[in-house]
Amino acid sequence: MVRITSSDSQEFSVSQDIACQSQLIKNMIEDVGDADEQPIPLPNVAGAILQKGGSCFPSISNAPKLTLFAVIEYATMHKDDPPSAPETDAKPSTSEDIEDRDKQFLNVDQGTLFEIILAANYLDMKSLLDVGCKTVANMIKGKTVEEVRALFNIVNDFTPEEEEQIRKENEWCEDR
Amino acid sequence: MAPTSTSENATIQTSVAPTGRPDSQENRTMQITPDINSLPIELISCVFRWIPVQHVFKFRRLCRTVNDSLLTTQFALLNMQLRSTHSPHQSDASMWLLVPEKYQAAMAREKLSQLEILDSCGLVKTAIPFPKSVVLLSKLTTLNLSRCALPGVISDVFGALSNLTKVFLSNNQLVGGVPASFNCLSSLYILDLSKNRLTGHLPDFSDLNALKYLLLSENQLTGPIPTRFGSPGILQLMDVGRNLFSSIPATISNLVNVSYLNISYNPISSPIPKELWSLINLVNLEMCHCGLTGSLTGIGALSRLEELDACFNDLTEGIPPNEIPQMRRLKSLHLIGNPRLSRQAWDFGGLENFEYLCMDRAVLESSTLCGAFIPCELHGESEESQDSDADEINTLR
Repeated sequence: MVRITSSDSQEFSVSQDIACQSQLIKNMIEDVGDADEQPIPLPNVAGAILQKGGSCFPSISNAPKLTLFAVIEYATMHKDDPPSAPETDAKPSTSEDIEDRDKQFLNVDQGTLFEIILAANYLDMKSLLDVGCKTVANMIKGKTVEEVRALFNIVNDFTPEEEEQIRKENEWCEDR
Repeated sequence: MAPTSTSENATIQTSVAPTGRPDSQENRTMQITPDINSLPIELISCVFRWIPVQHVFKFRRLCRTVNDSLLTTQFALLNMQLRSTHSPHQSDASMWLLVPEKYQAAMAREKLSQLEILDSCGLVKTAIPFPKSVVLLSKLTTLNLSRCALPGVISDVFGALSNLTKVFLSNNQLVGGVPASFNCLSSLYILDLSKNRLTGHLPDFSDLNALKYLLLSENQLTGPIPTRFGSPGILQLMDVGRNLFSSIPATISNLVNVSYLNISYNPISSPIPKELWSLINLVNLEMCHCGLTGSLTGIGALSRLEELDACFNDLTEGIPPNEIPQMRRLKSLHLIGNPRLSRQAWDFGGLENFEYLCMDRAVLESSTLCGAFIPCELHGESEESQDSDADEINTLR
């Protein structure tokens, strides 16, 4: 077992094969040797406690989630996956390629989704990062710029002239 | 329990943390919900990489951070993995012209390095700069960027593109000189730079050993009309009309196999060099509005000539009557706008194909005209009618 602690000092104990889906943790364990001695601190990942012990993580979509808890849940779900083959040119992945269980898992509020993406990036979990980013991309696809701004509270920080210039440069894809 | 802070672990933390913004961590642990704006720029790339290239760049307009992210090479490399990746494809090529510069460079390196034909296919509607990374497409045989509204100068990149056989850059807004590196293209077969705003003298073309078609019309090129190409006798068509070329060198005789020559609308203003009449393969000769003086004596050697347009010059002598029958294939003769042409006999009787004559009325009325049923366009005032400059078609016997 590996002990890891979140930024808010929650300690989690997970099996090594689950923990090592994080390349970061895997590297740490390899670097420090036996991980049983002390918990591995993950100061960039909030554990947050609202659903502690909740085993039905995906079912609550409006409450803040335990990021690290969620990540562990994802890792547990995928612990028997074959090691991911490098994406080859022969079989390019698209944002539509999301397993149903991952869709379920990521059916959460935006804040949680971005927390998970940040955590996956920090923990260096490529498959989770990809599936998180695909989910956001799918929310963006097919929408206009204005709709996407509204959806994600993006403030347009261009001057009207700058925006017009960019619009001109991209006329070819604006109306697609 | 606070995270342990042994010096060993602390070192590991800082050395392995790949991304993240230390300054925003405090906020996040204080339960401020993150949003897309709080993603570091490389994670924004990771999101937008999943949106196909033909849609994704409209999102540059979202905000500065997204714009910056979409213009990185990292984004280009990630996004390109989405595209279908069998052999380099035509749609890749026309898309390539439209994407931002770094994307172009990445795509040229990673995807299109084997591309042989780059053709805008008229799909490019907005002004795009000359794609400098074309230099990376060393396998190109055809470069067609006509009608792309390309502004600016032609990059001097052709030294790296020695496989090119066809280059079409016409109908753009290109300025500046014709790059010297065109001369590296020893397999070049067609060069079309017409309808731009190119200026200056042409560079040395003496290594263009395969050039068959040279199209330079409607620019502002100066100096002598080009006559020196790698292998004399290869060039078949040369259109240098509507430029600022100022002379026809005697070396025009190099172009022995040219069948179409257009030098119209150039400020030449000199007698026609007799070497022009050595181009015995000429079928079509256009040299109107050039200020040419002197005579057409010797033109009879052009026995394959079908159309001659020498309108609006300052010729004083036409085709000698004994040379007219030598031009057996002549179909049409345009000599209007040469009011000082001396009177002579124009006998087209022996020319089976002759069908069209265009001349100043005043010149013709003082000459003798023979020939059967020649449609004839006469310009200028007649003694009988006063409709000046009216075009009219007569059938003369």
